[in-house]
Amino acid sequence: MDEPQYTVASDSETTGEEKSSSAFAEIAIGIDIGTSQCSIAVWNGSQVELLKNTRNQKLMRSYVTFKDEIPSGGVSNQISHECEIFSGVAIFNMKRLIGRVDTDPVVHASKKLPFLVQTLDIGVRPFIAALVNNAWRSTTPEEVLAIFLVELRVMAELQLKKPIRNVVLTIPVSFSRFQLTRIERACAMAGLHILRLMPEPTAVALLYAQQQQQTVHENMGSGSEKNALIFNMGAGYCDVAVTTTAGGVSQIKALAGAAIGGEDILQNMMQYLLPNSEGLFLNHRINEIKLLGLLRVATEDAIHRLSSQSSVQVDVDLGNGFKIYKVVTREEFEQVNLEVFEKCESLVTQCLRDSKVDIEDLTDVILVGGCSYIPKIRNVVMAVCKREELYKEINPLEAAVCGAALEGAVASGITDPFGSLDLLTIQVTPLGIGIRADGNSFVPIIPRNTTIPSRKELLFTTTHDNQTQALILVYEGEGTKVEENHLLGYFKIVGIPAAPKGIPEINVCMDIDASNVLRVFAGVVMPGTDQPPFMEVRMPTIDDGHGWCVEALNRTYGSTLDLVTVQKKM
Amino acid sequence: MNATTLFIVSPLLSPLAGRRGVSIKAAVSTLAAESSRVDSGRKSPSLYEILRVKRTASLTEIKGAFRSLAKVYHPDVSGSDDGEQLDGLDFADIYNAYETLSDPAARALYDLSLGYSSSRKRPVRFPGGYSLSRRWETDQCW
Repeated sequence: MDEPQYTVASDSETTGEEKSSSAFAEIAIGIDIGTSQCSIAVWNGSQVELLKNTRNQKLMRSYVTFKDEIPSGGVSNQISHECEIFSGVAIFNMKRLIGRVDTDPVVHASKKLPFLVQTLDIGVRPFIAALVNNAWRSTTPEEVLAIFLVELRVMAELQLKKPIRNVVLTIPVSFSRFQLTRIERACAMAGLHILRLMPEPTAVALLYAQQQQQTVHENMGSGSEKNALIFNMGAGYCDVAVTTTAGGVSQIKALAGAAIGGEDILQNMMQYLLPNSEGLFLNHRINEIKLLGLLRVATEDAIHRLSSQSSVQVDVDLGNGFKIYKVVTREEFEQVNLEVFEKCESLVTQCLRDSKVDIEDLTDVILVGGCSYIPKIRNVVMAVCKREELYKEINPLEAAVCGAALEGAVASGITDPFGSLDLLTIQVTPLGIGIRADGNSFVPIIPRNTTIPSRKELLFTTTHDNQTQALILVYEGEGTKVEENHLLGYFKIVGIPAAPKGIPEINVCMDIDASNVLRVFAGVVMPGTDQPPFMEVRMPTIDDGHGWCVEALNRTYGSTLDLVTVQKKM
Repeated sequence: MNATTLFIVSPLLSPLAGRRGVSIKAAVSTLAAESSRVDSGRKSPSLYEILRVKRTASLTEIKGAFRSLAKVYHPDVSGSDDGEQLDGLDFADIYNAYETLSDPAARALYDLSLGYSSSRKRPVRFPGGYSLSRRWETDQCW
């Protein structure tokens, strides 16, 4: 740790509770990398301030063009026309692609994008390329994200006149731990150190906590506790959180999320406006890309207008004899995207159920993200929460980045004389973590919505007589079968003393520390024998979303190294 | 015999091990050195003592106490990533205490276990028994 320390003179009045050395280290900035838009904010000493780029934009398009020798991103780049982004030279939607393998349905849906997404469908990372001088030049989502982050960093450094190193980044709830490692890698490539990765709705929850504290000025613990449901839906992801707030402490009760968003709505509408077009774009010819770009812009515009109008006229000449002249009503729009809205509803229902907070006890319902402007989305959430109106004191497009900037200040040890930073978020794990046991079942050890830091353990035993080794396959997710979950890593326990099946006891312990690092400890516990050392494995261990790892393990070992859970003894 | 008993209950002792804060040390001790921990017989504070509230505290008081303590002991504000403070208390202990005492059913069971142990003589079978059984009962509520 050799980073320079910045001392804020006016903050020198501190109580004994403040920690010393790192207390006034550099302040971490908040970054909200959206699928479609991106923003950056920082605590300026008295409040959160969103930084603007040279074109005076607070919200910048998330894309990187590879048109020239030096790639340039949406922070600095000046595009002549919207369609240029969709001409194949730009990579966007990287947040939907990062850390996913080529068997993932989200990757397959991305094949309709104007740049090249090629899959071999064997569980490796997809091939991604931008069109440069009539050739497909390969890149990776991590690289694209890193280029974008470098631009953001440079922009912030110029404005704040100091080097930026620490960041708080917002992430979707449904991101797997493997995806988080890809985000970390992209940040490392951009010279940024991640102080916290914050699920988007929890960043909004922190902002809400601050607002409540400022408006009420209550005594801490005086009981005016507020429950809020936060629904966030952008272009790529939908996230829900239920938080309980009092005295500046935001305690997350439950999280739920899925990879559905405005992009799905857009794809559905494009499909609706130009049916039977799937085959048209798969060859990625220049003319087809151009046609697709025009369709995309026209559809996007129609969707935006449908938020305020009950019907819109779509009139666009796509060239090549393709013309669209159609009136689309809001009812049609809602019918075409029925599945998306149903999924939103089920996420809200699930999150409320998990939180154990009664609908009647909800103080506020907060909608943020680009899709929060869609009337149907608002109606769905209000209906589930039995509400007539939504929380108004929050900017739907800036809430997440403001929360991230607050967390950045709090986690950097900054204090505020007026108590505006007297805040805390108590996070939970969005996904369950466990191992494969009892055949092909996923046995969670740390269930979802467990408050972190956390440590839990479970006992397992062998399935064969004289089984001396056991394979530990660590998964993350909610499915009851392992195939439905994300593989995080695997390792072997050796030296189990020879004994009939069901006798040796294998303890698997999982620990998530304050920095959200997951460690798995496993070993044999057997009285009176010479016990081999325990294993300690930091997860994830898989290097590159290799879906075929499991197949290879199954082929090699079958069920010879399996474990089953030990029934709890009284 | 003694050792065997310990192994069966060892998963239930994790909050005790979690007290040590640092993950590596704690997990290994959970797995390996539980017996010495229990035999050493350090009297652990009651959940009420951890939250610094009275036995008669209301739910509101318990929630308030938890939030005040979280603001001091949560790793995000306490500055050390393993979350351990000088007094050996860490956020996980505070959260565990809060989780039990904020759930009326769990709190009633816990109160019962406290009452039980104070009104009766301590079990004589082995020294760690008292702390073991108390842990065991509270853990069942979680």
